[in-house]
Amino acid sequence: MDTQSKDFIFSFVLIALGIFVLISGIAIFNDAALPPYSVTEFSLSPGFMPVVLGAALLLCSILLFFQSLKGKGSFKAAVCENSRQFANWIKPAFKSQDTIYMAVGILFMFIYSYFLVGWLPYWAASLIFLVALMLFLRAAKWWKVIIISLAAVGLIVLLFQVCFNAALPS
Amino acid sequence: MAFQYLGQAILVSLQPLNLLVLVLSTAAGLIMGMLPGLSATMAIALLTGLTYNFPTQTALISLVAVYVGAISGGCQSAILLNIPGTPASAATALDGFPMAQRGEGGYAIFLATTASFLGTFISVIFVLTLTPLLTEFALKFRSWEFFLLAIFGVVICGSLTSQGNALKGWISGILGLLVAQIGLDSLNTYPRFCYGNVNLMSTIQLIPVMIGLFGFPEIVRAFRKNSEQNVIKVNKFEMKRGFRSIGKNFVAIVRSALIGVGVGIIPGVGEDTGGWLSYWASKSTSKHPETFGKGEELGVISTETGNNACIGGAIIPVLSLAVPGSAPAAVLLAAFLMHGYRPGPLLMTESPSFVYNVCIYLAFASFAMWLIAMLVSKLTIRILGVQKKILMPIIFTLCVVGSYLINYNLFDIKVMFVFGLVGMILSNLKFPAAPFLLGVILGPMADSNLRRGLNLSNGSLLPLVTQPICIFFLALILIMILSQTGLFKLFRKKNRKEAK
Repeated sequence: MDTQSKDFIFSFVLIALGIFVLISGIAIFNDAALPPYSVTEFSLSPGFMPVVLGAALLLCSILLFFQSLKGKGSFKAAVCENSRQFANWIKPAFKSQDTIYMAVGILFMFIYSYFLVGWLPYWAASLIFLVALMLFLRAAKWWKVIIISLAAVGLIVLLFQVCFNAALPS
Repeated sequence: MAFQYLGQAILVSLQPLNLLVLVLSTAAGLIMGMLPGLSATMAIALLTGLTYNFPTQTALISLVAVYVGAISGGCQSAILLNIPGTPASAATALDGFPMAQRGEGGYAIFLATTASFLGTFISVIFVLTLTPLLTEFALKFRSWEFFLLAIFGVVICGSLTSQGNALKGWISGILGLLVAQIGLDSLNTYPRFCYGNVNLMSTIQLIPVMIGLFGFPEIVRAFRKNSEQNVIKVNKFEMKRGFRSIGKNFVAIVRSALIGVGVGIIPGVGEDTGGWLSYWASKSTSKHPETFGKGEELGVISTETGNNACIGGAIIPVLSLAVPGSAPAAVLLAAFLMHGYRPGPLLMTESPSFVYNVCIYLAFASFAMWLIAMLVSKLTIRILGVQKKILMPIIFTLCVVGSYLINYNLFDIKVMFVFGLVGMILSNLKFPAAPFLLGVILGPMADSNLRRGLNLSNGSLLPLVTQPICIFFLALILIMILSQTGLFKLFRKKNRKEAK
């Protein structure tokens, strides 16, 4: 898929975000006009900047949308071409080994950041994460992976917890 | 007074702990810089979180050293692998790799490292002289000027980092400004976009955003199946020949350093542009331009002097205007803020010694970089062979530590992960991340100053077009935006047609 088609799809996301921010800004203005804030002047309201930024984002996103149609014939033909390219890209992209490896890698990182760290002591969480991810990526033989992970976690704990006296997540 | 500050900074740098940190950070920067995919920006971003518990001066030494090391380290992989470790060293590969191929790898590394040292060192002189001048000018700034400065920073950074499509850079900047709106607003303490979450009320922390934006995409990219690189064997440094060559090309070195400093000062233009422009200037003034790209020593020297001189250049607007000159400088600005300094017009009043400290640390770091790069080049070449699939998971555990140590809050780790995904999306869609980060940094300044300005002028926008500095910035912003719309090209075409 070419960059223009990616921009075409992403411009919809940005337009939606722009509208959301714009509406939220107006809602903030209305809410801040009530006590205890009682800011009735729009230019002084905490909703002012979100409204300005929402409008700016909306404008830029619309420009990006039209930019993504450039050089692809009529409006209808350009929309069809971009949509076709996106549809043709999405299936093979999800089947590609690179995508699978990256997606599973991100999943490992998600589990580590959101669940393991905080639930287990940092050293244990990191050790599990490193061993699991490196084994999945087939970075080295299993015994090498364990040695590398132990050494890395040991060094980090030594450096931060012992040398710098910083408390690591527990 | 200036000499006293300089003397104090030298004494601080010579303390055993600081010397040790200087050596370790420079070495870490060199390694990060030479590993393709680990940029200088990421190196500083990662280290910022890790230096949180350091004494302030030690942390500053560490950050400056890693910056110098990372920009300089990129040349080694460019010369030996033909893969620039950082974008700043892209032009180095053009002549460095052919030199390595004909068996002069060690000699090329010596030239590149010495040129890097000279580039950084010359730029320090400019930091010392230009920063106080710019700061004095910036003291005339009031609310409207600060607001326009923030917008100017985002607009110019968006234009110059977007690789041909400024609209994407501006969108990225607006997104960053939007992220800065999250939390209690500075004038009325109204919770914006918090949805009852207490963690969000204290605003999104800069460091996790930064680590996520710059580190995460590089880590995830390493999970792909890619071929391993072969490292070329290196000959001796041939120092005598190297020094002769440096002496012979001294004019080109000074020219490249001037270009580097000039490019560095312009907000948003990075070290890579400095390197390319210096290379181009040397090639176009050379009597034998045909030798460039085929292993010309001057090509390596010019590029490395130019990109390293950008370090000092990029730090000048950070210190005087709080507007970074490059992406790594943007991260450095965040690091300075985190360590309690407030770069900008009031810096010389609030912390007069700070500019001199940074200069001395830069000079020490450049010297340490030269020594370390020479001493450990054999080791670093072996590190170039380390598999990214081993290195990157370890780096992610460091990203987690770096994000956590800011506030000892697990929420910041989650923020880092979320902005990592944002960084990946932006990177895949070719949206630059630097304006996003700059938006997050400058967002509060833009918001509070705009509303304060409106309050003082009773809601009138008239000061924007009546105050000289405002007119200057407004004109710059308009020119920057119009120049990206192709309007100027149309005018030029029309004029040419009329002339014909």
